Amino acid sequence: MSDGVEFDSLVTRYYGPLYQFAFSLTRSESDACDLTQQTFYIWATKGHQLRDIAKVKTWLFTTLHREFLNMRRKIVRFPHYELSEMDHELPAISPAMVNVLDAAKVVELLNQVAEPYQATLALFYMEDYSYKEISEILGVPLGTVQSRISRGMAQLQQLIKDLGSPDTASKREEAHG
Amino acid sequence: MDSREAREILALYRPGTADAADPRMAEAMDFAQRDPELAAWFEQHCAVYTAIRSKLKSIPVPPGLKRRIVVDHMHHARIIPLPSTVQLLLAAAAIIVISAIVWTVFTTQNPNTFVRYRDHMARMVQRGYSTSMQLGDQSQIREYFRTNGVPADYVLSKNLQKLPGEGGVILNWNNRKVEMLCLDASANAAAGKGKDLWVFMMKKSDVQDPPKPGKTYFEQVGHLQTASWAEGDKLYVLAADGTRQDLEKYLQ
Repeated sequence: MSDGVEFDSLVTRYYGPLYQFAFSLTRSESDACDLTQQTFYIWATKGHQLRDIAKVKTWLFTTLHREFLNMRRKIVRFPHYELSEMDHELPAISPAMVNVLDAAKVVELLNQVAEPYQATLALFYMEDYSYKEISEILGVPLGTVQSRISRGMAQLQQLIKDLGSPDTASKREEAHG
Repeated sequence: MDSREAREILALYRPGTADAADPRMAEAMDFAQRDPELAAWFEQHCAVYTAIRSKLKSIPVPPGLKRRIVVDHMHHARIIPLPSTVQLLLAAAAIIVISAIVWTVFTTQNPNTFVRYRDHMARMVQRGYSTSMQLGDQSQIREYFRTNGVPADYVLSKNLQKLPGEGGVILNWNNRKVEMLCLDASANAAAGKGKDLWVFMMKKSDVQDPPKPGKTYFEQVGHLQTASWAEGDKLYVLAADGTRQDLEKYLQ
């Protein structure tokens, strides 16, 4: 799998989704490029250890997420969240409220969601992984994945709702004015 | 199952995925069909999910990223750790090859002829080279040559100047310095053909029989086509996986 031609086709197939996942985590083009490149470097040096070749994609996403955590640990310690205290009732929003936003704004809002939920939500929205695969990639139990998605989705939708509400808009204008 | 429980389950539903095959999801969806309020909520939920997904899936990917990964791999691929037995065998083979090369260098004449130089360079890139390469665009590579003590005043044709640079390296051939410029010809390469193109440059006086000025010499070396010419005080060799006509286009 590590020879030139197969490596090339592997890159062609997965570098886009991996980059988008990395960008959703970092919001930085250069950090996302570095994470994607580092992921394929690790594949080139350690990919031969993967026994089940059908799991290449999961392996790549797992590696990228691990590298992201390593990168973050060097910068900040994760804040601690009391998950049970968070309200996860889904706020009602319409597709139109999302459609007026551009991709960069949605990524910005995703990064305002509590840290532990961000990667889970990114995989939930961007990839077609089963919940079991998401739990393997992130290294957390299946139940934790589901609760993180529920709570993260509630936070994200609340942020989108706040963005569209007149009160929030006027507060933003006051802050800038 | 009640309406609240069905809603909690359906909140995790993603349209267009295998979620529909999950028995609990299927049961909740059945329930929603009998509950108009829940059905309306579910329809809205799916539409919002699709809208957010399409926004995130539209994050633009930098156009040069793939090439950066592949070029990076070209160099790292040569340091892939192998099982220890294979490493030992390779080490033994390397010692034999190096010994043979040393013996050849010390026991045979190695005249600095143009043909030997051209063939050596063309065959080297076909075998794969292990020297680390300075990556960058053409101007960065030229600057790298200039700051590393080799002439950077080489002149390339307009079509060669248009190709994106991949990297540059300073090689040694019979104690002569050779500049190797690797260019990305993927935009012009025919299907199944290699995407790299190499230009080798050295002093014309470094070979005893340089090509005559004003004339280009074409020669197939292995699976690469080469074109060689002398201009000013320099000797140029262009090598690529293509036909003579392909190389003629690059020289325009």
